[in-house]
Amino acid sequence: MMSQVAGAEDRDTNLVLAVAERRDPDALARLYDLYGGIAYGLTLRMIADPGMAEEVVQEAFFNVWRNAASYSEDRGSVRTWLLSIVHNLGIDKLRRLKSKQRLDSQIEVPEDALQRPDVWNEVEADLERQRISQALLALPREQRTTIELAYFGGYSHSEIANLLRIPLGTVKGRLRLGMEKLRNLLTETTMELSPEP
Amino acid sequence: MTCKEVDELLAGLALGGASPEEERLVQEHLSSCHVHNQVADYRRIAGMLPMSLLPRDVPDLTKRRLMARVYKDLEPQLLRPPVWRRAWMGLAAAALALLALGLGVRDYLVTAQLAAAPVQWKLGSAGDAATTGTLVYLPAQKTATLMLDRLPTLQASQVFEVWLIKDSQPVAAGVFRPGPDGAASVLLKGDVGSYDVVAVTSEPGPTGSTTPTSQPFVAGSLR
Ligand SMILES: [Zn+2]
Repeated sequence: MMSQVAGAEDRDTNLVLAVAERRDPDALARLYDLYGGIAYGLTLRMIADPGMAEEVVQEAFFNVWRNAASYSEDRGSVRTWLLSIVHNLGIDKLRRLKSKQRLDSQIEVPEDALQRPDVWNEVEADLERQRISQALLALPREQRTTIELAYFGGYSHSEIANLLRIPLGTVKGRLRLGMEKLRNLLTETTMELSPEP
Repeated sequence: MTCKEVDELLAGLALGGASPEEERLVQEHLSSCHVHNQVADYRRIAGMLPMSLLPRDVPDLTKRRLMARVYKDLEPQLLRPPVWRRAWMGLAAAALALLALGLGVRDYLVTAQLAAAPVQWKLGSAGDAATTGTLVYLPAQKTATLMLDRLPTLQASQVFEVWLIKDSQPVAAGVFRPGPDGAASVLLKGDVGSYDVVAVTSEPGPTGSTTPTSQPFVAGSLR
């Protein structure tokens, strides 16, 4: 599976340990400098309102500050763990926000959010982003839309069914097919990228 | 819930789309049934999805707010009673807490005294302010420079006042006003290294107070 370079993962693990064991605010600040931008990209994608998106980012990192001890390496990389905290808080926020405005802002799936390959200066991260974007784009459109509504939009299965006017079973089926396909695509990609013997 | 029903929900669950009730039922099922080995993969895939997005620049204010909360969390004793005696004792406790952070201050201090090299301490926000600072002490010259950033706004009639604290007793060490960028640099004379804590409060200007009349908004251990 694609992942960050090993050095970055060690660095991140040490930062989380410094927060958990030494209550080191500088280590938290460093994690924020590393992943605040991705976290904000995610919350902005989930919640259109920049003020609320920032709140969620702040809350997530404060969560990391308080609960760093709950991180363990078998929960995946620090980055994945951190972003899952951001995502969970984003979902909570969205669920509290159920409003017409949100329906309007989320139903359009902006494809260009997936594609533009500039801006990011870390080549490693850029490649990773392209691989995941391409995997998403390789899904049949209805599967991708359903996954994005669930993950980025924070919609429940029944809300998606209402939104897209499809039966509940179809929503679950699309999510499952889409995730299966992503699983194959993303695993395949990694194998292609392994060094030649 | 049957295995088939569980399988139908796992993808949605990993993506955050299952209801709390569905989540509870699935978790209950998974605790006793181990044939659903795609769970971890789905979670892993879901965890990759944010990496498909471009990072965005977070406004500076977000980090300042976050770090202010962090420092506040780190020194809870500083926030509570509006009683001075207790506040200063809190500062002394915070000084010990900072020492326990393993900042290596003591080692640094020992080395510094041997070489009479400058000694440096960090100050952190002690209230709602986002102020941070550094105190650099020159033991040979018995002078110190206190550098502060992101000072809170100050009423025209007020000044900031620096306090050096030893055995919970604050000693006035000078007043100043912030520069236009909210930063300030203050020269302190004396054996700064013999105190326990440095702290800054807002006081009536232009001369400040002889004992503090407000809570410190930034403080640091000198131990
Ligand atoms: Zn089962």
